[in-house]
Amino acid sequence: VDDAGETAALDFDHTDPVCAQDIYGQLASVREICPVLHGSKHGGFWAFSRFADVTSAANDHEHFTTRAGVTVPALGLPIGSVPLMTDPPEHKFYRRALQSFFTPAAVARLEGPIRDVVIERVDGFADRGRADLVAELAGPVPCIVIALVLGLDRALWSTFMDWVDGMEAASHVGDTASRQHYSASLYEFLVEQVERRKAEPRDDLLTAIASLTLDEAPVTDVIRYGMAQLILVAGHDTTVAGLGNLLRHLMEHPGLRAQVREDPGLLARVIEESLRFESPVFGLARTVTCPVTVQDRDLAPGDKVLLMFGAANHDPFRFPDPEVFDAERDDRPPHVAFGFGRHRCIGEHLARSELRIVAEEFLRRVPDYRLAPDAVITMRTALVRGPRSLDVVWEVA
Amino acid sequence: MRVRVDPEVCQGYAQCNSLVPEVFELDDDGISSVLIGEVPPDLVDAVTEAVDCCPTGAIVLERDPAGADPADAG
Repeated sequence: VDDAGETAALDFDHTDPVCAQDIYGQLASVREICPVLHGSKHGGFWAFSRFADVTSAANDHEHFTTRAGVTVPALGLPIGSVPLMTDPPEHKFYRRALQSFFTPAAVARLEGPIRDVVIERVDGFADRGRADLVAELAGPVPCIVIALVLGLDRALWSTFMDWVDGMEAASHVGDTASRQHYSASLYEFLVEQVERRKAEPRDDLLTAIASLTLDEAPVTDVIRYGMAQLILVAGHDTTVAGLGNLLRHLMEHPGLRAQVREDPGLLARVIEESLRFESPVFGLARTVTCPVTVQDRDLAPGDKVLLMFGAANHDPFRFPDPEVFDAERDDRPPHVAFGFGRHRCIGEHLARSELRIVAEEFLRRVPDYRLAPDAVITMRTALVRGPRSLDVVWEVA
Repeated sequence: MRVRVDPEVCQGYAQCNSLVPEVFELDDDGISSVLIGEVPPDLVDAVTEAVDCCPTGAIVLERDPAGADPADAG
């Protein structure tokens, strides 16, 4: 390992713009000598890079809890997201309460409404021959869809997206006042929406959350707001990044695009490889609860640990030639882009559905496209990894 | 059709729980367990998919004898 690799291992920072642009190159150079990295930024944190370490910690709530936050740096959300930031035993009761809204069957019922949203967006720019696919497609679709799922006024989609984006930007530069402003706006919104459903029940997920009671675990109003927060926050930004990555990968592999046109069934495999290759949620954090040793590193109570799902998905012990985008890859072992274990993404089937429908409808209107001549792709420097913009051009018939 | 999870084989990927939460749940150790051993007819396809998707092959199906009336099974 060269000096640069050594330095990266000793002071890792996924939010550093230089590191973020080539994060998998950096990790490949340090992985063998230093499977558990350390970062001094953001209050100090460990970062697990191996598939085995990431997955065993993900399900080990006795040593690694989600209760004290799941991001590095702290995003500054107003309250704890539920069920993500709860542990056993109550965790499974909260999760069970929400899960029926996100099963494959429930998501299948949203197929038509999602497709309508996507077609409306693609129609808006398909005749133009040039578009920023993040701003015009990948950004709006998940926000509008999650508004539909929750039962929110879809016209509000850009409002809550701006709050979460603002919180993330402020957390990265340590702007506490700005972070608190966005956080307070989000909290007021969640409270107002849940309380309104209590007074005027509707047929939507927010009403189910507002009226939820459980025999097995306490359901306070803060728990209810935390559930609404989880669906809203986890449900849009991550999919924005996943869509941006997929549209990028389809752009960069014209041969694959042609194959998908011939064999639409291949799209499912392209989606899984896109999720593995550039995982939209690069990692989520845990907090150490009692002394534990991982790869010869002694971790102390209170230490933050970043479980790098993206790094696990590039672990050569699990995925041969991990830096090659290969849609024919054997799908066992599966990637962990949606996490692993009890906190695995509750919305994974919804996310896959959005990825598939966007790819289908976009390729139907724009079968061939390429990066605009003067455009460059820069990745977001956050735990949610996707292109900031995807400025592409195509021939208009 | 009956279903069970071999706790010695399960590693806690949670794909079954994600696919069919009505049937599979993770216990406090993160290992999958079944909430209902007898699979209702409307969930047979979903449970079969969970069997196919399990990365460790931990889910065991015990199909009813051919021709048996499911209503009489068990």
